[in-house]
Amino acid sequence: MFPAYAGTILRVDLSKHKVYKKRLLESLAKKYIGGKGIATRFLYDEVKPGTGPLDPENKLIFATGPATGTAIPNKGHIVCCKSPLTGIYASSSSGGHFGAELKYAGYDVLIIEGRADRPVYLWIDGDDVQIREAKHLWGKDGLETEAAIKEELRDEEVKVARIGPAGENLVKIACIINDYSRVNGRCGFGAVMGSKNLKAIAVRGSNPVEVADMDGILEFLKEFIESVKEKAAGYSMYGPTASVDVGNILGTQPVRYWSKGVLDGYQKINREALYELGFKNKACHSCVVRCGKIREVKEGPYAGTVVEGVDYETIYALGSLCENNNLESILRSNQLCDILGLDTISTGNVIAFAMECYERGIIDNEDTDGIELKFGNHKAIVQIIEKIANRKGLGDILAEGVREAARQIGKGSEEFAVHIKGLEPAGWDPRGMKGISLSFAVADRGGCHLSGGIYTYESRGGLDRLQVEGKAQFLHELEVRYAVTDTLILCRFNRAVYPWETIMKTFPLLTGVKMSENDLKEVGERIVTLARAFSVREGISRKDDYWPDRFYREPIPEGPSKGMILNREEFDGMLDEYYELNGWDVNGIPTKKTLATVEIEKTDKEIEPTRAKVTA
Amino acid sequence: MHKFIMSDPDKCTGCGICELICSASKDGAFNPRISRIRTVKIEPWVDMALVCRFCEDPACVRSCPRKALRQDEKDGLIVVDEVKCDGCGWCIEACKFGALALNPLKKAVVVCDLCGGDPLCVKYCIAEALELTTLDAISAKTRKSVVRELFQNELVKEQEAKRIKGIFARGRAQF
Repeated sequence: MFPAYAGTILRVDLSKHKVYKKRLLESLAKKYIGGKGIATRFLYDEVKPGTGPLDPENKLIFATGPATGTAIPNKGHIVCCKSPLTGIYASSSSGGHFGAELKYAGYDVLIIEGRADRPVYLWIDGDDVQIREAKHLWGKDGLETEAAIKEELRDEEVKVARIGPAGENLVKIACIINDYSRVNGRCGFGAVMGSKNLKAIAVRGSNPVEVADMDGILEFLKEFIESVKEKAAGYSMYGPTASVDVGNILGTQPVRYWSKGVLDGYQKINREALYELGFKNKACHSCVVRCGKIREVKEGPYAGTVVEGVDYETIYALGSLCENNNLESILRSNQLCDILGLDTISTGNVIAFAMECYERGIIDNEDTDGIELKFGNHKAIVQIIEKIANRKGLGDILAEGVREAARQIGKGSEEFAVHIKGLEPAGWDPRGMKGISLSFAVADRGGCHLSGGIYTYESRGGLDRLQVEGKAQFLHELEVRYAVTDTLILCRFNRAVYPWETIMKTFPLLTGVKMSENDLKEVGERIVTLARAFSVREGISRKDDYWPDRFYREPIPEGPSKGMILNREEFDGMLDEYYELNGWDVNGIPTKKTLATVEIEKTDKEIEPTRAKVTA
Repeated sequence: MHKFIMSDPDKCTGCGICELICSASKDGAFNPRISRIRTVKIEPWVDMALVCRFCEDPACVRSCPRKALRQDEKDGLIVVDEVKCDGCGWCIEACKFGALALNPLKKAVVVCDLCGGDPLCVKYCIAEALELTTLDAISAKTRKSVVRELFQNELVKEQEAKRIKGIFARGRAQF
């Protein structure tokens, strides 16, 4: 195997209570590099179409990248599965220290399959892998779990990825957390882990990670640090929070469940306001950006709250979307989500959706057990979060995510429910940003801002946000580049420091393998198409690549983006262009020729039914 | 006075770059567990790096049954004779800071050697949490800051006077 890889795949079958180890093949590493690439390939090959996301046949595939465990600043690990929230492809990366430790333990990939017959946790101590009893941990929150495991294993330095009560209760917006507050957040990974009766994964390792050119890496790192000081200074100082001001100045921050673009008093929850509450910087393993900010609430009803964060998307979801400008309550809500194991973006979205239902009289106090779910009622937000995690009362419905909650609540709520392919979108209003409207609509895991993070460029990076021409091309290139950074696995907050040239430079330093820009782009294209093909097998096609109708019908009512709206014809044009650039047909299904490039001719049979259905 | 690496817990982010750089330069691979400097996390918000402080009367040296450890008289470094050392680890037990580690490749104990006087970990710490310093320098700094606090008002006045003087000086230079 090339340097920078551990060289081993660890497979744990919880049903059979067995552990297998296999060599990672060079040919696979060459084609998919690592991280998202390798995990997506395993997912495609091993999770068959029609698999129930919470069935034992679904798999959790953790993968590290060649940069993981080295001093090249990176994010650690990524995980793939079939999402219980969306029913399609899901991947999610996370920072923290878990990924690096997995690599030090000697594994590039960890595949978890089957279902244990009782609560267990996995203990990976280098070569020694044990499936251990977790009856005493079941029901414990995230912090208690982590502490209990460390005590049980008599090692404070063990790294733990775990679920909270939300994951145990199969809440479809539950997440996996490691390193106190680093999250595989979106798509309900926590529920999949819960469905396998797997409470936590603890890992410890002492293997060295060797690289092809150590002197080169140390030299590279010096330049990199200088460049971070210059280009990522905002993240280092404030954490990822600048978008509160940016979004409100542009009038595109989703407010009052996607009905407005500016939050009254947004200055109370912007980065300066947050900065006042910070007292310590934190960083993920090997990271020189250190965007993690520990904040403390000292006074008021939420005094005593200490939390790492909060980032822009959390401020948007638990703040502006619920028309809530009480910063302390946002910090408290974030802390609760971390402890209980919930994804903050989806949680904020289901709560704001429930508020909209409440304001319209679709649900009332009887449904909410007396909680006044009015917009801006921050106490209600904090109260309902616990109900969601524990599936109590209305929380049981909201725990299903917005799409399913709207179906169950009915009474016209499906009309205003906002999701793309079942995933609640991140905090940018598509009506005021054309690239974002396309980017979220076609993102591989549903309404996600990360797979093609064009928002950076449209909100502050010099792209005209209302221009349509060229956006599909720009997005396509960005998606391919980000797919490659997700193989390594580099952090999005380093994006300014990782242009193609820098990515290209890191490869030979780490692995000794030279990759041209073209080679890398091919890898990226392969991953984009493979992820799409997985979802196409599940029935996804062009019809699913749209925003809900309301965005094409109702313009933004006020603020700097007043009157802006999505135009279906214009949007269709962008879709056509985007599909073509990817080598997909007009229905968004990869053509046979494109499928051949990702070597899935054999499973082509499974994609054809969807193609036949949509062309009929 | 011996130099050593001081870590500021207010600035340390727990990123572990120091460990990575240390193991890379000393052992040629990334492996925090054999790094001579180690980060400690006490979740959620306490991070700090620990490394040999080159004590004046080092317990590690005293505890070694094979006399494999000695302290250099000039710079205070703990010098390990890798031939004599059999990795029994008594020194590790004796050290109150957990600053020594057993290196499985060398089958001997390893400890910080300040990279010959210009430690790499300090250079790469972007958070500027690490500093090569001496106890003398630390106490001198503390003394100065405490006196500065004591004479805060006078210092403000002095600075103001300096500023006005400067303005006059510039004014004179113009004519």
